Amino acid sequence: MDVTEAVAGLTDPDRRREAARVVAATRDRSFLPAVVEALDTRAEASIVPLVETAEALGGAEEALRLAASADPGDRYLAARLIDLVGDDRHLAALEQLVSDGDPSVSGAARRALAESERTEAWHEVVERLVASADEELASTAARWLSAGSRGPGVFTAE
Amino acid sequence: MIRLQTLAGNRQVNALLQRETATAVRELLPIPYEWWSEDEVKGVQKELRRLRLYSKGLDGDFGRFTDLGLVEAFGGDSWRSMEYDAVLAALKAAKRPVGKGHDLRYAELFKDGVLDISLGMGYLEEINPETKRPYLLDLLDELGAAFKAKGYEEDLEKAARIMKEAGRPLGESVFGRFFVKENALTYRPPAGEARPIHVVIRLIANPSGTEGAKASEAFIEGMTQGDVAYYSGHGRYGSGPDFDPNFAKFTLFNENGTVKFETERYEKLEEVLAGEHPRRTAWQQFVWRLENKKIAVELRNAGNLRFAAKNAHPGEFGGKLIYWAMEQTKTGPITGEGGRLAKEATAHPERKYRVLVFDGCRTSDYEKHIRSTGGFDTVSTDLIQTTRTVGFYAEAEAFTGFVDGIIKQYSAEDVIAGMNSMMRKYETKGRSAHEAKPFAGSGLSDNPGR
Repeated sequence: MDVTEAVAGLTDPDRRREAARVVAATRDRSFLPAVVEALDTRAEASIVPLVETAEALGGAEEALRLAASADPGDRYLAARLIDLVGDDRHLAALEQLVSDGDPSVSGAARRALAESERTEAWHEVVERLVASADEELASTAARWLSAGSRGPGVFTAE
Repeated sequence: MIRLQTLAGNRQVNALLQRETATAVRELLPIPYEWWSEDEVKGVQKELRRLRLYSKGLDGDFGRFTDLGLVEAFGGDSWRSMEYDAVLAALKAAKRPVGKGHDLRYAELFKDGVLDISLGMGYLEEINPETKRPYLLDLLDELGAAFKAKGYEEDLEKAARIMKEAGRPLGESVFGRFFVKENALTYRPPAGEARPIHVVIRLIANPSGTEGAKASEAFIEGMTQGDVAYYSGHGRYGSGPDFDPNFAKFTLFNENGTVKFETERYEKLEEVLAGEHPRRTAWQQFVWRLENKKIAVELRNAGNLRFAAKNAHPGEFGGKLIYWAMEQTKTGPITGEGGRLAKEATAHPERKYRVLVFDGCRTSDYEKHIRSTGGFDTVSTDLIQTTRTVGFYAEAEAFTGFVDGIIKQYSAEDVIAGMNSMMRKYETKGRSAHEAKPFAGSGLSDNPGR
């Protein structure tokens, strides 16, 4: 499988794992948008190979660089990469991006923050957002903090 | 009678009675074609073959395929009350179709004057990055605008009236939105009279995520009682159409009971679980968390129409999770002999043919389960399905391409080609890396030819 085939194969459930290996081996960051695009494709396949590829291509570092870009397309990519490979190092960037003027950027960043591991640093960021002047953001952040109130178990949603 | 016997003799009276009985029986059972001789049936079969509406042998046996051929020739059941000579004359006068390929059974679709299409839009979890809205909401808006541009009006009352006049009144729930175009096409059967056909599109969706049961019931109605049922959405690892999000939420807990992580996406859950333990797979870690009360799972799968009893993708976390969820809510398969689809199809013997379309990843897994269901063999059901992964942004165009093809009464192959052409143009905004055509037909080879 050559790289062109591999990029196409990222969206194919049957070829994703092998395709991801080929793309990861390139160590070429220019393939990161293709990895994110595969994440957004209507494919029912594990995203773990995409996470591993984004890590191999330096997605975590690239996300930090892109988050500061003036281009909203770059900032959107940053938020999506953080969703894939982010950790506490990216919390400061996310705290900025959740209030981004571009709705696609702020939406992606909010999702990434909501679904980040809830470390001490995460709680500090979210508690600051609860005090935000943006009422919608503040109530969203408060909702994140109230998660898990029913405790463990299997429930049917009402 | 005695007086008659005295006047004409017993023999003459008996002969008269036999003639009268035969006539009386024919009057009681006015089904002329049941009285056709073997040679007469052969004559009809020969003409049907010329018209490519019959591909079996000229055996003089009036069977299912001769019947089907006559329905297609006359565009319905008008031939059933016609005398043999009139049927044969009409067939002889009919022109052989032009073009290549196979037809859908248009007479069955149009014979009551209405083409009804149930369009089921499966639940999509994705957010449209451009509009920041749920992708499904954008898609429903796009479909509404596309129908309006093509001359359809959203009108439940009109849809109800048209369906009632066709002898198929709407069910009690009338869940969904109804779009109507009166006289949308003129149907010209080869040996029958041309007539206008109305089109009713029932748009079934559950964008709030809370009406999955109503949406799935409406789609079952479409599959078993309607002309066309078209599903566009996730294939759910080949398990079946789905009109709700499956999972409302997953919450992972730390040892001390505080929340570690929360997501609505099972793909994200897999990623987190896969990284939690050095020797356990994501699925093993999920089971461990369940057994040790370290996870909360909120299920929402009233909208699942389970086609497959067994998971065709047991090596994948998402597949395992979806089947596990359906077991928790005792959601059993509706396909197969004795399944719900078969029972409801049997309850509607008037529905002899249908077209089913499935647009979504791994919907090709559905075929064997549908074909194993009574009333859904290749003669009574034509299938059009995607055979590879499909990207976003072409759902509305593929559907309108399909409807346009049906309205123009294209061959089945050309209907599918039109849908594939739309996919090539619009899938992933024209940037799809796939070379293979996504849509393919199944069950077409026993259809009328061109």
